[in-house]
Amino acid sequence: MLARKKRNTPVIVITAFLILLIAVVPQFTSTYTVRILSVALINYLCVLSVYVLLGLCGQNSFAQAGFWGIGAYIAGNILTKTFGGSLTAFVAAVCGTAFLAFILGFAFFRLRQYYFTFASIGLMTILNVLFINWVDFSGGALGMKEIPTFQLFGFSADSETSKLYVVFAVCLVATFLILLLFHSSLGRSFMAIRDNEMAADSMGINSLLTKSIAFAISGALCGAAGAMWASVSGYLSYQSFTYNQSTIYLVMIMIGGTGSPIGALIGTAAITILQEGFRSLQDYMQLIYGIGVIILMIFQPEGIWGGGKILYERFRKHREKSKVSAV
Amino acid sequence: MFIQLLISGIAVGVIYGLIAMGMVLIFRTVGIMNFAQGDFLMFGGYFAYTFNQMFGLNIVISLILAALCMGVIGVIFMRTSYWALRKAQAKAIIVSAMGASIVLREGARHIWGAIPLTLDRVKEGSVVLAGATIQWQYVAIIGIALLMMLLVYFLLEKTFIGNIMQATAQDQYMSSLVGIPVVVSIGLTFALSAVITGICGGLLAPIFFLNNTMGTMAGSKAFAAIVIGGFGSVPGAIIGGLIVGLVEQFGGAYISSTYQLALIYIVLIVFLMFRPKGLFQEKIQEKA
Amino acid sequence: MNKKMAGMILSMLMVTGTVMGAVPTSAAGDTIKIGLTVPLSGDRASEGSYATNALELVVEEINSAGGVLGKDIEVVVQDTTGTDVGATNAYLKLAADDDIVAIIGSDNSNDNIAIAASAEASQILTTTQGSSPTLQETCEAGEWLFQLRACDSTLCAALMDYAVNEMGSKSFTIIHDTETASADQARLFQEGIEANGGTVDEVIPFTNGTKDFTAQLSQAMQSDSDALVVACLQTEAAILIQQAKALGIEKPIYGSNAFGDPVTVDLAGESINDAYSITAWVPDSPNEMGAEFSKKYEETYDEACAKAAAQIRDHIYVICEAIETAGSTDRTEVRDAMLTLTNYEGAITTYDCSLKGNCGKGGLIVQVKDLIPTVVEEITTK
Repeated sequence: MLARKKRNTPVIVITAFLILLIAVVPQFTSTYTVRILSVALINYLCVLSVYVLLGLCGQNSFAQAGFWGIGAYIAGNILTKTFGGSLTAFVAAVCGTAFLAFILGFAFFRLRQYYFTFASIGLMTILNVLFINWVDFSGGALGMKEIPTFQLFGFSADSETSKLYVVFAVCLVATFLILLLFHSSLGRSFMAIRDNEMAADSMGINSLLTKSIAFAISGALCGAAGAMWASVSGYLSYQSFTYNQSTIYLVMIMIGGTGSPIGALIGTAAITILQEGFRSLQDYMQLIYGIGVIILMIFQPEGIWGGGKILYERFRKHREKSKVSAV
Repeated sequence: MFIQLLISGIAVGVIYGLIAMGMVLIFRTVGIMNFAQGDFLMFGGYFAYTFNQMFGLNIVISLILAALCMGVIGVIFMRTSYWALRKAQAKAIIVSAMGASIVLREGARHIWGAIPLTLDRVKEGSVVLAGATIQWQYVAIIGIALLMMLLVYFLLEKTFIGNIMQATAQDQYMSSLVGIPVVVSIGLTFALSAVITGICGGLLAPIFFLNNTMGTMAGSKAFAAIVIGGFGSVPGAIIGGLIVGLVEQFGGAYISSTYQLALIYIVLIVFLMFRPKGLFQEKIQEKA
Repeated sequence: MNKKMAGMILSMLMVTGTVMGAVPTSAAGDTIKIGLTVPLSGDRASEGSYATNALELVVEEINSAGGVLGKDIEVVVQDTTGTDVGATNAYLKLAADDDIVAIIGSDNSNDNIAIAASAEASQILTTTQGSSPTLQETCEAGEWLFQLRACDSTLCAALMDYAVNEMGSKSFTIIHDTETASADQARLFQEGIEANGGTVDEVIPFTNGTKDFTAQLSQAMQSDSDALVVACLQTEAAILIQQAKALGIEKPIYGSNAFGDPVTVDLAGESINDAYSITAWVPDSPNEMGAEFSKKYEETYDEACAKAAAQIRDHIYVICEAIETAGSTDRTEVRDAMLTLTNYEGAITTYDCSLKGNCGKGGLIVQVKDLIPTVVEEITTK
C-alpha cells in the first residue's frame, strides 16, 4: 500500500501543480498563452495515445495524427450540420475513431514491428489524401470552418479560457483512465506483448486481439483530442493532420520518456517550449529544434523522465551506500 | 500511352528503388531504418546544383563531386546521430534521425535558400520510341541506376572492403573479434548509402526540381518499396521500387488520378495482408 | 553521469527559456509596429524569403521618407511553420502585443480562414493575402479582416473570357491540384468556360505532392479538346509544363497565377514560352510604382521580384496609409480609417478597402514570351 502510494506521488504532485497553473495563468496572460496551453494539452492527449501503443504495448504507429483528424472531422460534421449537441459530437468522435482503429487493428496487426510501422505510415498518407479530397466529409482542401464551440448543460465554452478548462478536464479524466489501465490485467497483457510477444502468446494472451484493443484505446484518445481541437480552433484543415505531426508525437514521447504518462506530459511541454519559447530565433528556430532533439536523444535516450528516474535511483543507492559505510 | 507510362514508371521506380537500396544497406548493418534517407536525396541534389550551376562544371563531373560530398555527409550523419546512440533502443535512434532530418532540411534552406532550383540534365531533349516520347533524362536515370547497382554489387561481393562491410552486417561482435574496425565499416556503409541516394537526388533534380522538402515524398515511397521488397533484401528493394513506380503511373492513369498517392499505399497494405513479409522474405528466423 | 547531468541542465535551460519567452518583451514605444505572419520554414518557406526581403526594402523606404506619424515603422515577423495551427499561434502571439497596430496574414487561404475567428476576438486590423472566394465571404462577414488583393473569381473568369472569345478555343481539358487555391481556381475556370459558351471535356485532379504527371497528361492527350487549362502551384506548374512539352502537347495552355511567376519561368525554361496565365503581378510591371519597386528589388537581391514580395510591399503601404489617415495607432481607429481608403494606388493594383473582400481592383492576362511574362491585357473589376 505504502509502495503504491509512493509510486503515485509524482502524479499527484504534478496534477496539483497543473491545476494551479491552469487556474492561475489565464488570469494574467494573453489569449496567446492560453491557446498555446490548449494546443499543448490536445497534443498531450495524442502523445498519451502513443504512450498506450508504444510505451505499454510496444507498437510504433505513425497514423496518430490521422486518427486525430478523423475525430476532429467527425465532431466537426456533427456540430456544423447539427446532427446533435456537443456531448453527442464528443462521444461520436471518441467511439467512432476507436471503432475504426479497432477494425484497422485486426488488419494491421497481422504485421509485426517494422512492417506494422510502415503500414501505419501508409495509412497516414491515405487518410491525409482523403482529408484533402473527400469534400463531403472534410470540406475538401479548404477545410471546415465556423464550428460551434463546446456547450453542455447551459455552460458554453466561448472564451479561450473556458475552452482550456474543458480540454484540461478531458485530459485529467483520460490520464486517470490510462493510469487505471496501467494497473489492470489488460494493461499487464499489453506489457507482456511489449516485452515478448511470443512468450505472451504462449501464455494464452490473444496478441492480435489485445494489440487491436490497444490500437482502439489509442484511437479513442486521438478521437477525444480531435473533438477538443474542433471546438478550440473552430476550423479544421488537412494541413494539421499530416505525417509530420505524427512524427512530432513520437519525438514528444521519446523526449519525455516512454515509461509513464508523466513522460508524455514532459515531452509535450519540452517540445512546445522549444517551438514556442524560441520564436524570437525566427527562421533558425526549426534548426535549433532539430539539433535539440538530437542532443536530447544522445544525452537522455530514455527521455527526460526516464533518465531522471535512473539518475535519482543511482543517487539514492549512492547515498544508502555512504550511509552504510558511515555506520 | 501504355509504353509512355511504362517507361516513366520504370525511371521513377528505379530511383525509389535506389533510395530504398540505400536504406536497406544501413538496415542490414545496424538494424535501424534511416528516417533521414529522403534528406540525403535532397542534399545530393543541392550539392550537384552547387557544382553544376554555381561553379559551372559539367553535370556528370558535378554528380561525381556531389557523390564524394555525400560520402562525407553520410559519415558525419553516422557519427552524430547514430554512433553515440548505438547502444540505446531503436526508438531513440529513429527519433534522433528525425531530428537530423529536420537539421538537414533547415540547414539546406539556410545554405541554398527556399526558392526552388533546377540544374542541367545529363542529356537534353527526348527520343520517340514505339509511339512514346521518352525524355533522355529518364533514359539516363535508368542507365546510371543500372550502372550503380552493378557497382554496388561488385563492391559488396567482390572487394575486400565489401567483405568487411558484409561481415559487420552479419555480426558486429564477431567481426570486432576478428579485427575488423567496426566503426570504419559502419561509417563506410553510411557513406555508401548516402552516395547512392545523393546521386539519385542529382538525377531527379532537373525533372522534379530542388527544394528542401523534396526528400519527404521520395523517402516515404522508398519505405513502401522496402516493405514490398521485404526488409534487408537489396534486390527486393529495387523490385519494390519498380512496383511502386509502376503502380503510381498506371494507377494514376487508369484508376484514379486524385487518389494516385493513396493508391500506392493501398496496394502496399493489401499486398502485406497476403504476404506479410514482403516479396523476398528475411531468411533469419524471428528471435524469441 | 556527466552526460546525464548535461541533459538535465539542458532541459532546465529550456524551461527557463519559456519563462523568458512568456514575459512580453516590450520595446520603447517610439516605433509603430506592424505584425506579419509568414511561413519561414516548412513546404512554403519560399514565400517567407520573398516577404522578409521585401519588407526590409519597404521599411527602409518608408522610414527614410520620414516614417508614419513622424515615427519609424517596424515589422515583427512570426513563423507559421506552414500549418494552420502554426499560423494561428503566430497570429495570437502578435495580437497579444499591444504595440502592434495591424497584422498581415500569410498568402494561404487556409491560414487566413483559420485566424478569422481570432481576428474578430482580438479586434485588430488584419489583411489577408489569400485569393479564395471563400476567404472573400469570410472577410466580408467579419469586421476586422480585409482581403487585400483581387479575388480569383474575377481573374479566372477574365482569362476564360479571353480564351474563348479572343483566342477561339472552344473545348477544354482542366488539370488541377486539389490543394485549396488551385481547386478553387479550377472550379472558377470551369464556370468561366461554361459562362462563355465553351465546353469542358474532362477534369483531371491530382493531389498535392504528385511529381510525375505522365499519367495525367496521357489522359489529357486522349481527348481532342482545343486547349489545356491548368491550376496548380509553382513547382508543379514547372514540372507539368516541361513534361507536357516533352510529350509533344502543342495545344495552348492557360494557367493559374503560378504560370506567370518568375520562379516557374526560371525552373521550366523554354517549355513555358507561349503559355497564358492570369495573375495580379509580373516583375515587368505596367504599373509605374510596381516597376520601380521591382527594379529596386532585383538590384538589391539579384532575383526577380515575385508576387509574394510585391504583395507585402502593398500591404505595408496600405496599412501605413490607414494609420496616417487615422492619425493615431489605436486599433479601432486604424480599422475605421482603412474602410475609407477607396482608391489607394499600390504597386500591384488599385485597392478599394471599403469592400473588405476582393479589395484589389485588377489583374493581368499574361503570356510568357522569350522567358519574360508579358502583359497581354489588363483587367479591371467591373
